[in-house]
Formats: sequence, structure tokens, C-alpha cells
Amino acid sequence: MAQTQFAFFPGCSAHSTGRAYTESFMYVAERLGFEVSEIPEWNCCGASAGHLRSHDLGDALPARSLALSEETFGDRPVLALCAGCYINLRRALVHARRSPEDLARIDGLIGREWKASAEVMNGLEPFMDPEVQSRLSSCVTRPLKGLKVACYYGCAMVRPRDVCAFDDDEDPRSMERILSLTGAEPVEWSFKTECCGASHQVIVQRDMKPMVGRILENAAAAGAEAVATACPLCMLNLDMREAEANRQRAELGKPPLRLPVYYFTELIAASFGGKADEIGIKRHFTPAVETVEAARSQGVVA
Amino acid sequence: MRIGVFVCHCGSNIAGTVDVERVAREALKLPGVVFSDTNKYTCSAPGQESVCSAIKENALDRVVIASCSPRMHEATFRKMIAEKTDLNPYMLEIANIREQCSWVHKDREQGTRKACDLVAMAVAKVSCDRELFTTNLPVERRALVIGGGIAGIQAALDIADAGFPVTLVERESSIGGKMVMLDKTFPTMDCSACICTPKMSEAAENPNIEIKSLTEVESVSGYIGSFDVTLREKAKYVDYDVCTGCGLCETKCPTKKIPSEFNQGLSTRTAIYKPFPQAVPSKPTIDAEHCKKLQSGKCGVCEKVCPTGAIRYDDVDRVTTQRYGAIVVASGYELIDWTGLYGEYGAGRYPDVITGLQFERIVNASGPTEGHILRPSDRTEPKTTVIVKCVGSRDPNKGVSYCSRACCMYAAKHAHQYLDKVPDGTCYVFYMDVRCAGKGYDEFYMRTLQDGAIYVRGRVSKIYPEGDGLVCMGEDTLSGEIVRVKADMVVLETAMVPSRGSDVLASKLNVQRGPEGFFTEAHPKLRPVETNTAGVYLAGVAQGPKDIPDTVAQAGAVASKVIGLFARGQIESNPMLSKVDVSRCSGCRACVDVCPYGALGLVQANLRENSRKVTRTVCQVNEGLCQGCGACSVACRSGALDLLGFSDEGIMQEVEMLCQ
Repeated sequence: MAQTQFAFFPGCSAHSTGRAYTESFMYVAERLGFEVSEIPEWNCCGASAGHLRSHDLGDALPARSLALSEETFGDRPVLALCAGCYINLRRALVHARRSPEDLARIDGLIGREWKASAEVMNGLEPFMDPEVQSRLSSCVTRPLKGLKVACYYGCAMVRPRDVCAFDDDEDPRSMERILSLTGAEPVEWSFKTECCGASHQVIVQRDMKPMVGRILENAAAAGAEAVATACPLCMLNLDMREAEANRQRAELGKPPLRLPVYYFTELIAASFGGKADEIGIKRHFTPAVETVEAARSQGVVA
Repeated sequence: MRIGVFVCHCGSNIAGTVDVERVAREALKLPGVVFSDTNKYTCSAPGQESVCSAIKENALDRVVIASCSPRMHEATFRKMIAEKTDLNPYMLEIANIREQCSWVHKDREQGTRKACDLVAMAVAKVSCDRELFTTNLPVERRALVIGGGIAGIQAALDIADAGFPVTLVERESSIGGKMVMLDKTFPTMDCSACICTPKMSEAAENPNIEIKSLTEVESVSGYIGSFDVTLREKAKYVDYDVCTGCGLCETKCPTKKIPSEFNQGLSTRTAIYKPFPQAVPSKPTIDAEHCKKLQSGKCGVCEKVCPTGAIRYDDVDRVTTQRYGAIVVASGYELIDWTGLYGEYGAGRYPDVITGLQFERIVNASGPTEGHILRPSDRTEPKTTVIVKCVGSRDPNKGVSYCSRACCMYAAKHAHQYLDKVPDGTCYVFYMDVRCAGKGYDEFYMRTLQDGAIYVRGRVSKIYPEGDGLVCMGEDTLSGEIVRVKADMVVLETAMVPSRGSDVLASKLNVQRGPEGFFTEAHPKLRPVETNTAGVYLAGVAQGPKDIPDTVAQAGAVASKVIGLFARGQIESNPMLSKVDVSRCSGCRACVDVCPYGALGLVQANLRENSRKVTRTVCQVNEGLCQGCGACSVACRSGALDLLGFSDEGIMQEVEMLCQ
């Protein structure tokens, strides 16, 4: 039986910068019969600074939310759409599962009897189940026929491998498998796990500037017409800074890239026939509606 | 019972921490002890003499020597008792008061008390000892060498030259192994094939060597001096007695597009083929999987063109059994499959990312490019080449944790060869460390630096295509800079791993393997070519990564061991073996499952129980295979198994003595 019930950990992005991810994920989830319920009273996952400030804080912040989920939803897997949330929740889970002493230490920090029994999943994992995949295929009414897409995982989702371990850390392929069901054609490219520099965008802007351009250029060179992501931070960074990358290219006399960036769930939702304003694709910085519509109109089935 | 106790000073090794005189005095108070003495060096000639005369003068019937570890001198003292006294050599116990006492203690009082306890335990155990007798087993003077690489060839030649017959088994269609695929050997830059192929033909022509190609070991039974080995010689579809090796069949075979294993997939071969011109045996075989005739019945060209009528499409595997006195494992290695491990190096998607062995074929004059350095994708000369060391080696997260030892040197060799053949080329070598321990090795590395090779300390993190080349991204850890090198070709120096099937071979031979999968030697320093299974020896990379000089040296060492065994002609059996008391055995087979040597089996036995005849399943010890490890006597639930010379009773007496 495929897993269809999930506890939802929104983090700071799901209702703000990552709204398009949440909207498109829920659109798809509803049609695949997923039941997704938000964890009551959840708190910040501790990304960026928490775990660096103190290891205990790095364990305690995610553990509290996971404990609340366990109290409300039992063993239901916790869904963390943001790669930052995912890695932090998972790290606390891995730490708690190392030994009974570690679990007791963390439980002491949060003052709750957390058992660390439920799994933590990222946005891709619910779609990796073969049963879900066959249901997904049957929901595709407007395939994105031939849309060449570069699947971008970013650096945080697959590493470190003893924490994540849901896919190969150097050459992950789960997003490719999922998106190929929508009629899109994933391309082979080399920068799918390269860092986009998102966490540097405030402090070392000069160093991170070329990072976005490099990723998008590699995708374009591999023949991609679009980039798909599964993380709101990657999305924000790639989508928002494409214009700047294009300005830099213009200085060198190169043409602009015109590479829309999507959440992978937006592409699934589009292949289900979702309207542009209900699946998030109108919310992007880089225009994203046209590419989807063009692909869908080619792939109309009867 | 007349027990004598001899306490050794071992210079100051023991006497420095233990009051040996007091230990000797205390020993005299133990039950059965009638004599005690101390000695400066018991193992020396005068020391041994004084022990022997004390045994005779005091009519001692049991002896305890308190000295170093039994692994050090138990055999010395046994031999001494057997040769110089009338006592049975197994009426001896060693109390280890050096490694397990004086060396690990600082406090003299504590050390002395512990030594007294250890001596008391040995006295308790020696009281239970019984006389044991060795027997002589005959040795079949014929050796089996498994693996026809340079290690196996060298071992076979050395054994055969001493006059003993050898069967050299190779699972591929030619002997030669990896060495014959190499272009040059470091540091002298000898042509590898030129020094390897004469050895191959020497092996083929030696009347004492029988080469069996396309042959694998099916099963092994027996023990040192008398192994019964069943070999499976795969169907070759060519009658070697009739074939002259003219090669006409190869030129006419219509199936020509099979990737050549010998050229590492860089060229193609036919379905009937010899892997390379100097192959031994110098006759072709048919690759049944790709042969049209054998797959669909349509073709038969080779049969039609063969001038001697040697083709046999109905050929079948031949299974033979032969007795051997010794077995040499020289099963070699293969290179780790990096494509499944290094996604960021393209996982095999980029044709110009090649392995070191592929580079060997490219640079070789008889290779796919006739020795011109041309990259696989477009057959152009790469102007920039990047060599990446430690791909898989020293990387427990991805590959193996050990160092493959030869790569530093052949990476330097590859850089040297590349710069020699492409004078306007640039060569970068990414390295973690440069390990060049060997005669003339560091000088060779220095010369490569003078050739102009640019060594960058750091690992390559990613290789990606850009334009018609590849970009190698990495960190120069000496400057802390991120480097990006645009390369036309990348050579990965990949880790050596045990050859496929080593696990199966190990269980057939009852030989242990280490965590990394290489066969384990009996002692890392003192018995480097023997295994824990008597009569089975190790040569070459089968035992662990090494280069050609070390491999050849080890093969020679193995040969001398085998020749020594054959020269003796018989072996003295170890009497400290497991013994079964069938009246207590229930045939539960717990012992059979734990025995690492396959020495235990179940048999139907006719017994008399309660004055009635019964037939029951009981266990039986094969004394030829049993190594006396004692695992079975621990596993036995009913106490039916006991280890002679190490009886349960003796151990219990030791424990009781300690608890007093």
C-alpha cells in the first residue's frame, strides 16, 4: 500500500516565498488522494543559524515539531517541502535514532516523550512509490510533450548521504523518473547537485553571483528549455537571479537565457490540466506560463 | 605426578617487573610440583640444556615453562623435549608471563602476584595433559595454481623448474592476466608485454606445466598433501589437438562488432577469437554468447574455412578431478567499477573519461590506436590531459578505504608517457598524497615532475562537458583555491579490488578473506604467503594490492614453500585436534555449522547403548582438515567434542586454581 497520509511541516517558506510550491503540491496531492495535514504549533526548523549556534539547539528545534507531529498523527511521515527543513528535520531524526541515550538527551531538551518513529520525507519521496506513479500517469490529461527539462536537486537535498539517503548523492534520478511520467523529457546535465549559493546571497553576494548563472548555463547547454526544482530556496534563487545572470551575459555580448524555473509539482499539475493561476506558475519572476502552455498545446490528447 | 616449573628471566624483560625467584619458590608449594628453577634465557642453548637435565635428574613427567607467549617458543620447547628427553612433548604447558604480564605491568608486586597465578593455572592444566602422538601423512607432489597472471605464471614456473608437475588454471582464454595488458612497467620503462610474453610461452613449453584455460575450480575437498580438486574446463568449440592457430577463422568470422575485453572496450573483436596475438594457448575459442552458429544455427563460416577441421560446435564443458598436494591462489584483481560510484565524474557517460588500464591500451603500440595518444570520442590528440588518482581508493564513502599502492607510480608513468608522446601537451595530476616507496620510485616521480607534469594536491569534485572538452573542478588544497581545468581527456586511476568470484573461491578453499575481500595470510609478517588452511598459499594481488616486483617476489616465496613441502614428501600431523565422544553426541550439527575448515561431518554410526545395538547420526572429525581451533568444542551442547591438548577439563582446572 502506498503511503497517502502525511503530516505537513510548512517551515517559513510554504506560506510565503514558496507559496507556489505548496499550491501546486496540494493541487497534485488532492488528485492523487493524499491526505496532508499541517502539524499544529510547529516551529522553525533551525536552518541557517540554529545548528551552528549550538548542536543541542540544532536537534531540539526540529525535534519539537516532530514530537508534536507524533503526538497528533502518530507514525505518519512528516513532509518537509523545503530542502533546508528536510535536512534539518532528518538530521535530528538520525541523531535521535543513533542510540537510546541520544533520544533521551533530545527528549530532555524538548521536555517531551518523542519516540522518533515517524519518517521525514522531502517533496519528491511521496511520488517515488510505483503505485503513486501509476496513479500519477493516469491523471495526466495534458502531457508536456517533449518539454526538455533539467532536474535540479541542489546541494542540500541529497547530502550528506548518511542523513538523506533517498537517492544517489552524486547522480540522483528520482525527479527525472517522476517528471518523465508527465511527458516531459529530462535532459542529461552535470550541475544537478551543484550549490546555487542561496545561503550566501546576503553575506557573500560577490562569490555567489556567478553560481546561479553557471547552473542555468549548463542546463541550457544540455538542451534544457526549463529547470525543475524541489526546494523553495533553490527556486527563489534561480528564478529571481536569472535576470541578473542575463545582465552579466549581456555585458559579455551573450544572448539572454530565457529559461523558466518550475517546482516539479507545478509541471505535474500542469500535465493534470491545472489552470495557470491555480498551480503557481503565475507567481514567478522569470515568465513561466508560456513555456508550459506551449508544451501542453503540443501534447493535447483528444 | 612429578611436575617441574621453569621460570625465565628473559634478561630484564620479565625479571625487571616480576620477582622470578619468588615465582619459582611459590610454584614449589603447588600440588604435584617437585622441582622449580629459574633461568636467564630458557630458550638459549644452555637454558634448554639445564631444563633437559633437570627433567632427567628429577624424573619429571610434566613440565611448565613460564616465559614468553606460546606463539613465540612453544614449538621450540616441544621440539627440545621430543629430541632431548624421553618425555612426550605434549606434557608441556607455557605460562605467558611476558606479553601478558611483565610487559603490561609496572608494579613489581602486582606483576609478581599475577605471574604466580599464571604459573599456578599452567600447573593445574598440565596435570590434566595426556600424551599425544603425531602421524605422518603422505604428500601428493603436484601443485595447482589458480590464476594465470604474472603471479601464477611465476609460481608455476618456479615449482615446475624444481621438477614437480603443476596445473595452471586460468578462467580467461589466455594466461597473462593484467600485466600483459600494460604498456610499460615503472620505474625502468621496460615493455611489459616483452617481459611477460616470454614467461607465458616458457610456461606453455615447460613439460611440467599443464595450462588449462577457460577453466574454473568447481570444488575442493581433502587437506594438505591430498586435495581432491574438481575443475570445469569450459567448452572452447575448437579442438586444440587439431587447431594450428593459423587465425584464418578470425579473419572470416562475420560477427565483428564485439567490444574487445583485452583492449578494454576500445576496439572490437570477432566471435571466434584469440584475445591478443601473443595469447597462450595460442589458439582461438568461440564466444558462444555472440556466435551466430551457436545462437541461431545459421553461419558455420569458421568450420568451412578451417583448413584442419578443428571447429567443434557440439563441444561441451569437461569436468575432471585430480589430486594435488598444494594449492596456490593467484587470482589477482580487477579495477573497481567507478561508473556506479562517481556520478559526478559522469558515471561513464563521457567517452573521454577513461581508466588507467584503458590508457595503457591507448599508449600501447599494438593497442587500438597503435600507440598514438588519441582520445576515444573523436580520435584527436588531447592537448590537455588530467590524471585523477585515488578514484575509489582511500575513499570509504564511495569505494574502498585502503591504498591500492601501485597507482601513484603508474599515474607518474602515465604522465611521463603522455608528455613524451605529446610534447606540446599539458598534463595535470590531481593527488591526495604521492606515495613512491620502492627502489628507484621516488626518482621516477621526480623525473615526471621535471618532464613538466603539474601536480595539484586535491581531489576532483566534478567532471562536466563543456564545448568539445571536459572541465575538471577541484580544490588545490595547498593554495586553498578552487581550480577548473579544461581538459581534452581525463584518466582515472581506479582502485584495485579482489577479482570477481573471490568470495566463492574462498569458501571452496576454506580460506579467510579480510574485510576488503582480499585473501588473508596466516601472519602479516612471519607467514605472509601461507593461509590458515594448511597447504593453501597466496601470491600476488589476491592477498592485497601490490605492484609487479612485489608480486613476482611473493610468487617465488610461495614456490619455495611448495617445493619445501614436496621435498619433505610427507607431513607430520598436528595431534591437537577435536575428538568426539559419540556416546554423548546427539548429531545436532551445531559443530558442523561453526567449523571454519569444513572438518566436521555427520555420519550414521552403529553404537551399543544400554547393551542394545542402535544406529544414530553422530558427528565425525576429519583429522586431515581439523586445525584444532576449538570452535566446535565451544559450540557443542552436550560436551561431546573436546580439543586434545586443550581439554575442557584442563581449562576448568585452570579456572578453579585461579579461584582458590
